[in-house]
Amino acid sequence: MLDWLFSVEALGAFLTCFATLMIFSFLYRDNPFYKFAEHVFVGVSTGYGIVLMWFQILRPNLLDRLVPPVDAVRQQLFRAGELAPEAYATAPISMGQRLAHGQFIYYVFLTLGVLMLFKISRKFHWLSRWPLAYVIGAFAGIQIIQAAQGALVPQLEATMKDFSGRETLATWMADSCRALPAAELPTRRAEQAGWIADWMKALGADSVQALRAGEAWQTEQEGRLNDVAGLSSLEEPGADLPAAFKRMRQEQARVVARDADFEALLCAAAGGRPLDSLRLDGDAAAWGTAPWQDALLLAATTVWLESPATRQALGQRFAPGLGLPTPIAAEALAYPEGHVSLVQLLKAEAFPQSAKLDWSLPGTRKLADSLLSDVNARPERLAEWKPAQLEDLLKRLKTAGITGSAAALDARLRVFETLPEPGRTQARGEFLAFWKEGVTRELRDLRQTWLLHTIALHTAPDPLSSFSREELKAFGQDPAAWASTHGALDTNGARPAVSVAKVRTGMAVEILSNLLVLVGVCAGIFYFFFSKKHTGALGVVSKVGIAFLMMSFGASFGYTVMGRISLAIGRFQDLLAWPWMAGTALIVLVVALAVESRRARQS
Amino acid sequence: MKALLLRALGRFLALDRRWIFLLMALCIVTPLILPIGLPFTPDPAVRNLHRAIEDLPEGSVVLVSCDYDPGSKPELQPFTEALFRHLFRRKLKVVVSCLWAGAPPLVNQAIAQALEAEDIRPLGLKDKVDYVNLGYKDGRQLVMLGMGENIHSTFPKSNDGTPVSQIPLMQRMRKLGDSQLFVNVSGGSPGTKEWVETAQGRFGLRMVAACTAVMAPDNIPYYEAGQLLGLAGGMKGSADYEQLVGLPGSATRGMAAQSFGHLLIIAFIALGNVAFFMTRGRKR
Repeated sequence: MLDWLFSVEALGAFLTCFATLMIFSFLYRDNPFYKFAEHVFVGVSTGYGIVLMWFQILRPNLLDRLVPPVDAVRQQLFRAGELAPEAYATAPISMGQRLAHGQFIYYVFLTLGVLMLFKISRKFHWLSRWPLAYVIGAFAGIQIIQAAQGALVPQLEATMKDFSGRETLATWMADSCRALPAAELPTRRAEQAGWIADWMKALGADSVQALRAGEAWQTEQEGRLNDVAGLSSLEEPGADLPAAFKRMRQEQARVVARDADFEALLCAAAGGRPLDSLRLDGDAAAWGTAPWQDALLLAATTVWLESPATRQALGQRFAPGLGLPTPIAAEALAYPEGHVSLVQLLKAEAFPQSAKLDWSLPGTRKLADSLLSDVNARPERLAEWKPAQLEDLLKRLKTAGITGSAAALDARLRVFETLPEPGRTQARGEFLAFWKEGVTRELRDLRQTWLLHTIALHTAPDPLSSFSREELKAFGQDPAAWASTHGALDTNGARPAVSVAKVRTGMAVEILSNLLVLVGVCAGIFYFFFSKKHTGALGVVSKVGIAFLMMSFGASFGYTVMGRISLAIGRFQDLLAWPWMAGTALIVLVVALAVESRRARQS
Repeated sequence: MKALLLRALGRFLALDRRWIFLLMALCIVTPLILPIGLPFTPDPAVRNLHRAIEDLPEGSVVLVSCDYDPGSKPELQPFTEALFRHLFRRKLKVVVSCLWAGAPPLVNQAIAQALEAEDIRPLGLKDKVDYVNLGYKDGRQLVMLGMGENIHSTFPKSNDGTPVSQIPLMQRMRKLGDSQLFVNVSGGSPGTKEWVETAQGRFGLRMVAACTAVMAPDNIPYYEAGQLLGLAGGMKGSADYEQLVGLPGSATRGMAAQSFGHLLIIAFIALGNVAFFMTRGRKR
């Protein structure tokens, strides 16, 4: 404690407290201690500003470009091949060389800066208008675009309010979607945000909420695609990114931009090569050393796996990421063939019926996809599947919500078995296309189903307004039937119960708020209309306008007061960080003020 | 009785303003010394800010522009500290830039504090890989425009002098649009207004902001128009965010003092008006 009292830190703490209290002493009355602190502050700020201006602005932005530092000149010479590597560190660089490597355009800016100084000359002060004109012109150019693009258009758009209360409803819906059970969140949340956006658009509410929801969905989709390609693990320090990886990144960006399907992404990850041409041979341990190989490895998991060692390595690498429960994942890893062993496990009924896979996880969905790919790619292996196993697979797919493709699979699997070899390939291709179409259609249906569920959740059994009924009818649904669905959803605890009265109140408040904005804006504008005397109706309107203006000024002032009190709190928090020092400084200051007051009275 | 009341009110109107200062100081200091946990509810705008970060996929890049100095520290530093902790906890990549010269030391302090936290230390986050502080750059809107085109040429070096081309994290961050979310912590100009008007629309940024209470009325229209996805205004905004993140800090501790300060001001405004109107006729 005693050591600390005589340390530099303690001195700093005392000075901080004393200076703060000296500034506060102005609230008592103007005094020399306040003036001292004020002058110290102004002096230190100016000194700091000058140093900052030199080291952060003038030197790097002007001087170093006119007269580059020695190292910069050496680098330029080295790049031009005029300096040998061994002479790099020791080669003498003359001032002439430094000046010769300067950027001459900056002499123009230096001249403009010097011209500004002519402001103090009576005879040549007109010269200072040139740099001012340059600055004003450049600033105006920036401001025009900024004002139109950043303020005028979006703010005008935002003032066009609707009076239906839809935004409140949309917010409630979005909040409800976010309150889904945790297990459903990873996939359903993003999808639902998209459905809500669709729904809003279907209602003609091209609103901020819809855009926000759409953006959130888009971001999440991109994130998922990035995760798939393994891009999140690419930031190893000093990683040498080969050309193949760069190509992959570009291709991937292109694929993401056009929202292409997973297969296209994998092709992109493989450097644009078709999936069927991929082969992974050699030592599995050597794979994964370069970042781009991760993406290739992932691509390879859905196609041929030639080497057992590679398969095993892949299994160890990816099985945990498939979202399997830990014991099942461990069991899968025990199989020698890694990823393929997952298929084998299903076939061998190694998964206990009681084991529940979390189908909502993207990894598990991928497993389902790969199961189908496995079957589609090698129809000759269908013979290995027993009817009970196929049924089990179909059941799992149905649980995952892939009912359309499950049905398609069910119908086609049996056809494949009867086909001769040349026809099988063609049938396989047809089936693949059919399956993709089925998945797309089914996803669309799934969206619609969830959309209707969501609408019903918020409107039934006491429909909020007629639009919900109309909306349900537009989808060919009976509102009364959906009312019962809503009840079932709530009973299951899958969705939080929403008070219809609360939503109604929220909508009423939104409508009232928008009306107030409309009245306030119009009345405020009339107040500033001076071409006609403010009497009669115009007088009343302008009085309403001034009332709104006063209220808005009051609200702004309230924020200002809050800010000032926050600053005072901050200062007191700083003082209370060293309570003993603050107390000592306060006593010293009070005594000093008393002495100073006495002297002032005597004089 | 009425005469006594009028005399008291008259004396109240003539009250030396220094008594008001003293009372205000007491109202602020007392809750700081004797903490009183007054409840408060997070504002929807702050909830949306929090949600915008929560919605980001793991590994997303977040660009944080810290545009303030020690003058706004009480209001904004608590937000910055909670923000970094939140971003790190969500395993997001963080790139920080500053348009105010006084900001880099505050940023370094907030990052160091976040890295020392119990829930962050085990993550083993690395400078330049998981986060980077690019430091201060003068030029106001020109810097914003430059960052929109090419951050590497606008910030050739990071705050500690490392060339940006050698920073692994910056390989994913070539321009403003490469970030999945842009967070502006603003203490004045250049700040949120300039970022929204210069960069948000032009480069299609998903943007949230925290600003001082004085600036909040100017920035609320941007939030209402959807240009800002979320907004935290003043110390109250910082306290709201701290509560949502579950990291009560200095802003949360200051809320009781803030409330008592407001109550005192309201009481004086009410009493002053009553005294003014009751004694007005008497003076005439």
